[in-house]
Amino acid sequence: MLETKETFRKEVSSLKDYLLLLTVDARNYNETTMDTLRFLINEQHVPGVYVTLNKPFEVIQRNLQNNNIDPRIIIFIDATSRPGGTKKIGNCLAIGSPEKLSDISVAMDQAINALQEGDKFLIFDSINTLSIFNKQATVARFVHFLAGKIREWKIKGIIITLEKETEQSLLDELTQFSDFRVDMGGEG
Amino acid sequence: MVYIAAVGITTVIFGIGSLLLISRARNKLTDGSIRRFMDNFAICLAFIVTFSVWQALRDIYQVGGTFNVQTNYLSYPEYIFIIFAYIAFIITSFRTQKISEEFGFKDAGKKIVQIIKSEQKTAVPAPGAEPKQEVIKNKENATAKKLVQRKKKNARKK
Repeated sequence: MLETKETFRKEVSSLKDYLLLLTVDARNYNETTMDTLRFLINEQHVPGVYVTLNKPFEVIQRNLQNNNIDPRIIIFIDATSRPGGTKKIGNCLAIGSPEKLSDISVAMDQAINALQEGDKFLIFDSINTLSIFNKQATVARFVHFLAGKIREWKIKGIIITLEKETEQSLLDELTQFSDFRVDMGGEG
Repeated sequence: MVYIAAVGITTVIFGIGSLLLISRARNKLTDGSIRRFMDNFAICLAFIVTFSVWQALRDIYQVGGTFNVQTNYLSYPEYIFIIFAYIAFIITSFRTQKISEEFGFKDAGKKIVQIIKSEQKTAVPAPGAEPKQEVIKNKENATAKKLVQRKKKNARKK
C-alpha cells in the first residue's frame, strides 16, 4: 500500500496536468480519497472541484475537517440522490440525482472556469456509482466526454472507481484514456 | 402584398426549423435544470411561431381578398399569441436567473483565490527549510563570490 502511494506521488507530483485513474478496493476507499485530497490540498496547495456521487457534501466536509484538510478551497458538486432538486449550499451545488448528467457537466465546466488560472484539480468520485444509475453506453459516453474535458481544461484530473464494481470493458476504456492507472487494491 | 406573404412564409419556415433543432437538442439532454430551461425556451418560440403562422395565413388570404371584412377580428388571436409569448419569455428569464444562481461559481472562485492568497502571506516555512531572507542572502553571497572569482581569473590572464 505504502509503495503504491509512493509511486502515485512520484508519478504525479512533477506534472502540471494529467488524467489519473484511481482504482480502489471498497475497504480502502475512504482512506484513499482522503490521502488524495491531502496530497493535492495540503502538499500541493491546489484548489479544485470535487464531484461526489457517493457521499453527501456535509459528510465529506466533516471528514476533511477531521483529517485537517481545508474544505474551503474546494468547490463541491454533490450528485447524490436527495429530494428537492438543485440547491446551492455555500461552495457546494447539490444536483439532486446522479442521473442528471447534463447538469453535472455544466456544473463542472462552470466550477473549473471559476477557479483562478494555474493549477487546479477535478476529482470524480466515482464511476461505479454512475453506472448504477445510468445505462452503460451513457456512462461510457460520459467518461469519454469527461476525459476530453480534463484534457481541454489542462487540469489535474482524478477519476475514482471501485475496481470490483466496474465493468471490465469500461475499466479498459478508462485506462486507455488516462495517463496513469494506480491500483489501491489493499493488501494485495 | 405578395412580398409580405413571402416574408411571412420564410419566418414560419425559420421558426419551425428552430423548434426542430431545439427538440433534437432537448432529446440529447438528461432531465434537469438545463433541459427545463430548453422546454421553457421552446414554449416561447412555439407561441411566436404560432403568431407568425397566423399572420402569414392572414396575409396569404388577404392577397386573394376573401377575408377583407373579417380582417379586424382575425387579428385578435395574434395579440393573444404575442402576449403569451412574452409571458413565457418572463418565466424563461426567471429560470435563467435561477440557473445562474445555482450554476454560477464566480463568487466561490473569488473566495478561493482570497483564501489561497491569505494562506500564502501567512505561510510558515516548513521545518528544515531556510527562511526567505536567508535564501536571498545566500544567493547574493554566491553571486558576489562568482564576481570575485571572475575578477581573479581576469587579473591572472592579464
